[in-house]
Amino acid sequence: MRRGFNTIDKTIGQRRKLSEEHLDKLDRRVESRDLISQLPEYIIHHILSFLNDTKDAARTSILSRKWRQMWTSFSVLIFDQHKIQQQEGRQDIRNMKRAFTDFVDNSLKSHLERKLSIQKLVLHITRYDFELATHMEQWINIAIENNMKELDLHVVKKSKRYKLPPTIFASKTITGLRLHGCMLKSHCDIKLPKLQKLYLHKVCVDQQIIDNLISSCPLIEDLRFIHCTGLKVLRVSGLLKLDRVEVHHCHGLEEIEVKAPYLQTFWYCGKESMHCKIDLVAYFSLKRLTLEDGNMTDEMFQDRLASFPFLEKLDLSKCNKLKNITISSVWLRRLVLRGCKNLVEADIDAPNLFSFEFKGDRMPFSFSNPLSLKEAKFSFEPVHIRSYNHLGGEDALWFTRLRKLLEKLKHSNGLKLVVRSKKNVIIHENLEEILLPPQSDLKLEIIKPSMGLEDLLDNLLRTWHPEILSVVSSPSSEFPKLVHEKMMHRVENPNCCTYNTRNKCWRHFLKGVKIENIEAAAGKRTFGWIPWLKSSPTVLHQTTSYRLSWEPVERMLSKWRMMSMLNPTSVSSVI
Amino acid sequence: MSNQSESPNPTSSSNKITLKTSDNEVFEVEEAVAMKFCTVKQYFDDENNNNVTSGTSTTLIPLPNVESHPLAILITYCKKHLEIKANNADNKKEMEIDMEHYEREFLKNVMPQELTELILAANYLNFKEALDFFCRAVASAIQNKSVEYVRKFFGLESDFKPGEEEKLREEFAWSFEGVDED
Repeated sequence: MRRGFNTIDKTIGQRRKLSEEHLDKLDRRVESRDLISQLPEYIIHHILSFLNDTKDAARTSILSRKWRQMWTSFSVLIFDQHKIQQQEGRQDIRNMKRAFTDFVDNSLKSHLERKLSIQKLVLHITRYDFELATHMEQWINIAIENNMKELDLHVVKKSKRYKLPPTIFASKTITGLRLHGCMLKSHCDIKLPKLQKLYLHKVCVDQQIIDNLISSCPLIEDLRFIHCTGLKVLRVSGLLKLDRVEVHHCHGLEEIEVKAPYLQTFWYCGKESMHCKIDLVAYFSLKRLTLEDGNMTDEMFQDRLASFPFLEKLDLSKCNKLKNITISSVWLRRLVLRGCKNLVEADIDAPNLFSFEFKGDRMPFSFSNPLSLKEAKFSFEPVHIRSYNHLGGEDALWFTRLRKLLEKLKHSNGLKLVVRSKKNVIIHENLEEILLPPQSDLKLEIIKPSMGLEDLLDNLLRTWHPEILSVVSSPSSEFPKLVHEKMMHRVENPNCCTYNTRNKCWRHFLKGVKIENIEAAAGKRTFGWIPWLKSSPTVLHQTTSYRLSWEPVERMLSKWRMMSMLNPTSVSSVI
Repeated sequence: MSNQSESPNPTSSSNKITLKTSDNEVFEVEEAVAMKFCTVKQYFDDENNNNVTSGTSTTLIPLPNVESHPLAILITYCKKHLEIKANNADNKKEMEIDMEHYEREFLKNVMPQELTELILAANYLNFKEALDFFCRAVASAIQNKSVEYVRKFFGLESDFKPGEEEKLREEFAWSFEGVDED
């Protein structure tokens, strides 16, 4: 008579068939009485702790007020020294520090008095000193005793680094360790049977401890080293769960050797001054490879590519030694070529490619197959002064290649072209009838955003704060209407982005909008742009232009900073 | 089956314990089952310590916070739990497999609202295995589900002011990636 969880509606339907009396009884018991919210807090936390993903737990905060409160007290404790001290106002440093340590002490105490567990502890330390170290050790130890699962420790680097207490390396419950700016030197035993994620960011390590960590934490899935020092050789083997390895700019690292049968993702980013030998054994499993390696030659690249036949995503950034490469794969779905400035020719034969991103100042790639891309982003950087004259001579060639590319892209329906020059932006809704302005400092972006026109527009406005925005579209298009609506009917004091104090959207900066009459416009401020638009009658016919004025970003930011200081929001506990 | 060494109690002569629920129903259960309910066990331990020997074998334990419906389910669950444990005393892996199989079947017959009652009852009785099991069941039922689905599942309604929910959704936008379609 009763059914499982996924058939709530059906069970309601079936219940109607029951006898009156029985139904009454059932209803009393089952009908939407919100019993769950009556559960004591620690039981709801217990339920939340069974959710594998914090996202699932966070979403429950939108269920109702009660659940919002539950989430807030849910065992993710965040203490940010800067924010907490800021609230204390202008006091001398000693008192401010005291205020912070008292705040954390009291929060932890009251948290534990309520019998709540500690899922995750986040400590963001901006003014570290020895006195604070004693407190930090205490807090971390309390959290470990209470079966903390994740520790996120961020210490802003000072001359003296924080050294982690050895107890952390014997925790039976820790699944995630994210450490920033501290020191990891310890000769104690390491035994972290549950550790899955280890992120080290600006951490000073020694060879021994990293070797120990890798050999004593069998469940590691995700391993990241970012700007770490003290590591000479990263040798990883025997980790059967390892899925992802990232190494970013680690000075002094000479060798990476990863043998992992199930590794799917590998990142390496290093400067030209860093010479690191990379040996990666993951023949069948590797799907995503990102390389930023100024020392990788054409041969090294081809060898590497050949050793991962099943790659689905390849991302090459600033690989400045690359000149002529061939990328040929039926598995490849995504390709990114970004700022490989000496690349002359990349032959791409990837029939199943659906996403391609290119950023650079020339067009050093060619495709064997017609493209049918679902996502594309081409950004052609403005010409650098250095090569200005040189490229000036190649303008014609460049435009020919561009036209060829556009031809190839015809099969990818719905691409848009964004042309940017100084503070002007033109959006071409169709790639067909495109006229390019006679300027060599223009920046082109060919975009097919899966996000659609409105998002494209939001992004452009957010990123560029353009002075003139023009839209070129076919007469039947709805796009100009949408732009008009967005520009002219925006609200005076937008109430979006309330929680985002740093990176608010364009609406908060836009001061004024005027429809620009291209016919009448002339004069000094047009940079030869409008005369060009005017010179093409077909374009003129379908073009709408707006002149936008913006508040200076800095002024707005400092204004918001002032406001947030007068009106501090809650400090702890919410992610 | 019973655990005499672990739970000294005055009713050992009988091996049956009687529980009385808030809606005045009476359940007679095996001692081993009752001892899984720490609240009941505590009752005996206390009596023992206070030297209040009941003298009779029909001790009746009132459970004013538990209704008969969830208690019946809990007793069934507990019996099966002990049975599986006894059957696989020497093989932990087998036991886990059997238990998992049983729990999966068990959940097919439980409705969302009942889960809450079961959690409350298991909590009051301090029956740890059951509490963990039901909490886990709730968690897996709402995993990756939309807010609307979970509201319906729990039978609760939003009590946010208009606009408030939208703000929260904006703030928690990151948590909506990859949510299942209902």
